[in-house]
Amino acid sequence: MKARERILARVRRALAGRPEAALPSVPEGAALSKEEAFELFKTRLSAAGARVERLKALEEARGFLKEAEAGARTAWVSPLVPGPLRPRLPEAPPEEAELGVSRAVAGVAETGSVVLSSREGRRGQLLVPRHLVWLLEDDLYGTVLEALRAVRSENAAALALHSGPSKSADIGQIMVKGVHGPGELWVGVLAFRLEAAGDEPPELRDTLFQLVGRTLKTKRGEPFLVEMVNDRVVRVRTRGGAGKTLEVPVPYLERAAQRAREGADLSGPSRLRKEVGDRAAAYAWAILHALGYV
Amino acid sequence: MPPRAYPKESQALLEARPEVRESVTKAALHFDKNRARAYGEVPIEAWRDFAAQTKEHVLSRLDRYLEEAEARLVEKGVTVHYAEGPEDAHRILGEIVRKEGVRLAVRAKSMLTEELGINAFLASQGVEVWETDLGEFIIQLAEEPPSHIVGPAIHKSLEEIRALFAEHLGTPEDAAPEELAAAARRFLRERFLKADLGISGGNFLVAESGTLVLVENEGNIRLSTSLPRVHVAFVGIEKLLPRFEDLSVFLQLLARAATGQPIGTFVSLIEGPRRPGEPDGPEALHVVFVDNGRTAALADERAHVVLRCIRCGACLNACPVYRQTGGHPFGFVYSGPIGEVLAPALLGPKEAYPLYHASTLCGACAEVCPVRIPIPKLLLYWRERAAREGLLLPFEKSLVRAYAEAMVRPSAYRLASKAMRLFPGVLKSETLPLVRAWTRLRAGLEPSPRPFHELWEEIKDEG
Amino acid sequence: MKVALFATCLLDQFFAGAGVATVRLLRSLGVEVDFPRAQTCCGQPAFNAGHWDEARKMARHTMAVFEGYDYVVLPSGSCGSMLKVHYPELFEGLGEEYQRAVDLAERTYELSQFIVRVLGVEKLGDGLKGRALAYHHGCHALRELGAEKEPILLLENAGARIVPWEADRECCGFGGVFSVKLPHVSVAMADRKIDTLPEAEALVSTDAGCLLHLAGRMKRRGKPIPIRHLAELLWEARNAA
Repeated sequence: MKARERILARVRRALAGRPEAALPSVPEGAALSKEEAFELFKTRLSAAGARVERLKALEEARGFLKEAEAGARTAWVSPLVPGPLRPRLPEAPPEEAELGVSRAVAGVAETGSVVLSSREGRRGQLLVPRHLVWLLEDDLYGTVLEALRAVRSENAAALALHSGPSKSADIGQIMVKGVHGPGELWVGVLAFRLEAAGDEPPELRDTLFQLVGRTLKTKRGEPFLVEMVNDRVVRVRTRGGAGKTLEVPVPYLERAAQRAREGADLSGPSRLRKEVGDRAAAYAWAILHALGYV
Repeated sequence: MPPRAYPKESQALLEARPEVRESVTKAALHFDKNRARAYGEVPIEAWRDFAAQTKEHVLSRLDRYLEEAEARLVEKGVTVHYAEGPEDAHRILGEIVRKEGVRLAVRAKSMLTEELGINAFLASQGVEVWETDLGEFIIQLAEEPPSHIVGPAIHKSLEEIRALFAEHLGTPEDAAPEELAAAARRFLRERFLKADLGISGGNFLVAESGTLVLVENEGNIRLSTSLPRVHVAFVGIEKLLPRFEDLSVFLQLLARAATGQPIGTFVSLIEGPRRPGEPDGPEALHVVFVDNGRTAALADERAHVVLRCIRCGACLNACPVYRQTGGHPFGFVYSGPIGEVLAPALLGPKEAYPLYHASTLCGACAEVCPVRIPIPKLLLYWRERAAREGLLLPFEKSLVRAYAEAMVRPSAYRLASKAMRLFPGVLKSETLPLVRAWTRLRAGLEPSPRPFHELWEEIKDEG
Repeated sequence: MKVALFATCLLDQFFAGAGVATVRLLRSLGVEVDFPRAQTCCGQPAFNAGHWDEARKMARHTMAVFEGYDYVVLPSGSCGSMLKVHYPELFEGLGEEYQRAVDLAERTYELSQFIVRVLGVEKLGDGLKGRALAYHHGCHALRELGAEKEPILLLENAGARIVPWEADRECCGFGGVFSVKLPHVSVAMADRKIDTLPEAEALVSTDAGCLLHLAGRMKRRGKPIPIRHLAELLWEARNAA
């Protein structure tokens, strides 16, 4: 590490006796109402060549999805996307899929951006020609600053802000879309609660995705992060020292939820173990608790 | 081609390839117009103050921020290296290439890797390397250096690019821009999927969080930093920002200054290699902090402000000198106004001579700089140092001395004034070098029949 | 009010008529004008080329020449900014001389700014009715002195129409010594101005250097339009009132 020491020494020599310049506070942007935020979000993203819709019910979301599916034979779908919002297309790896479906961890109105996490995989966000991103309206922020604060605790190797389709004007100043990344960006802003979408009680697996990225606590107060959800498992990471990863099977959670509906006493992890067995029951119970099943 | 060749190279370019002036002017004015509109939409003066002060703060405690950034990066599983110059950078990269068995690399546009000659080095190691930014790809095919910080190929017309792609990629002679882009996409997509190594620069690096930030419009940087199993980022030591939240202004300011967009189409916030459970991403991430003249610039109390630069290219677009030729004649990685003050700060005033003279001091650059670098002031600073340190031709110094001696003697001034009218041919002469420099391209000077100071004697008592 | 005219060397030699116009214009506005005979060059060419010792020498001379006047008025943006902006920089840290430089800077005005800001006059007369003029904003007048509105205001209020010109705020490429150090780039910049110049009966500016350069290039290219110094037009504006 000789270069390191030499560089640091030169920096210190250069700065010797130089006063510390003041660090200004970060300017806060203007607060926007929900409606204003969506309008600005749509204006900015549309100007960048993306398609944006505010979807007030599951049916509208499904309609939007259907349009996005048009012409595509295969799809890559992020594990963060809940069942009802997954395309009815055969799945394919990102390098072959003709449609990619992501779920944003946040949105920014002032720049017209969706924030995507590497937890769902990056290839699917980049290699597909058409990229559909679901964004919960509650996750849409007015300013970059608010969004950065909100995603600060994301446990991901990389976050990315996408603010339109891939573009370049490097050929004679003529704007071309889809140069390397997706040539089409579709953003569906979900302005409804998924579980309230129909008269039927929501399927457990459709509501699980809301927990992704959230920190929950077990009954004994141990915090853990819900890292990923797909159709098979909920993956959680404990917060202590090294932090270990555990997987809670979705069918196991569904059996427990069914028992709860039938009136079984699931007032704690030990009761849960008794009723449906032990598959990381402490965490499973906390998940069911967060969703209001127990 | 060194900076010293600027006068010759700029002349040669203007005479031999006038179409470059046309392409560059058109593109730069387009960028500048968009910037002006984009500045008007936001509290730009407050943002510029914030950005300038934040950068100035980081620079004033750069040692502390480097150590903080390094600690955060290491915690996140990043391997951190330091490079004093190109040799160190090559050695570090060479070791990674050998250890990882790299055969194919993709490069995401970065001016610092241009400084370090990374492409040539990789080629010498038997590594196939592809530029993935469309503009960089074009000039890689043309075997030219970039001519603009943001638009490396703005000097190339559609016709030239058509010919280039027809030759290398087999596209039709009359291909539309969309077809050309699609051909580049297909060609590079294959390389992205096969590459072992992705090389990037870094627009910002947040010290408190160890976040590497990259901004782009095409998606090639995201692909270069997501697909290959190894990612190496070369980051200038001046790129640090203290706080994650600082990005809220810098991301917007950079985009608005560079192209007039609210934000770059793709912004990567990278905090380490792929984490457990993530479906993809590089297995290894290396950050190389590069000095390459920056500590020398920092040590100069007057000139260190160039290190605030965020490489937006706004000053190039605003600069009428740059617009006549584009970046090539400058003979330095960075051209235009910022190049004229970065070159002496990074290379020293001797090596950079006469770039800091390639300006009329019109001030258009300082008017647009998002971090308020007082470029004209710095140009004057370097000119003064060059004169003081004897870097100019002795002929110039004696000429200026004689001129100054005459000008403090009103009688000498008036004598010269008379002489000019007695020998009017002098101002049209083709033999005196200074006069010829004027008359070769312009009509000769014609003084007023009588100078004002003589007319004054006639009007001084008018009512 | 005792006002000294600093004609500047370029105007003295190449636009003598504009000097006469300046004197008559200021007198018509009730100003007592003097022309200190010892004035020469402000030193800007040496300053811009980095020869600050020589520039200081000329600046000292100039400061002495203009001692004791309430105002120093220049029909030039470039030399005006040399006195107003750069003299204090030149003498930074030099105690008493710095104070003298600051004192001179405070008393120094470019002609149109003097008329509008000091004299408070916004209308000189109607002498420019129906005239279509192209106005070149000299860089130092525009960006260092902020003389953006004043010349236009005075011309328009006298009835002139300033024709829209996309390059009116771009540098013409003169740049003093730059024009002979890098002549090819310099005239390429002039060509951009000339190629975008709309139809107008004259090209007007407050800076003699820019006008000489543009006129020289237009003549060489064989498409000259008349060039006029701002001072001459302001006097014409006044004259017909």
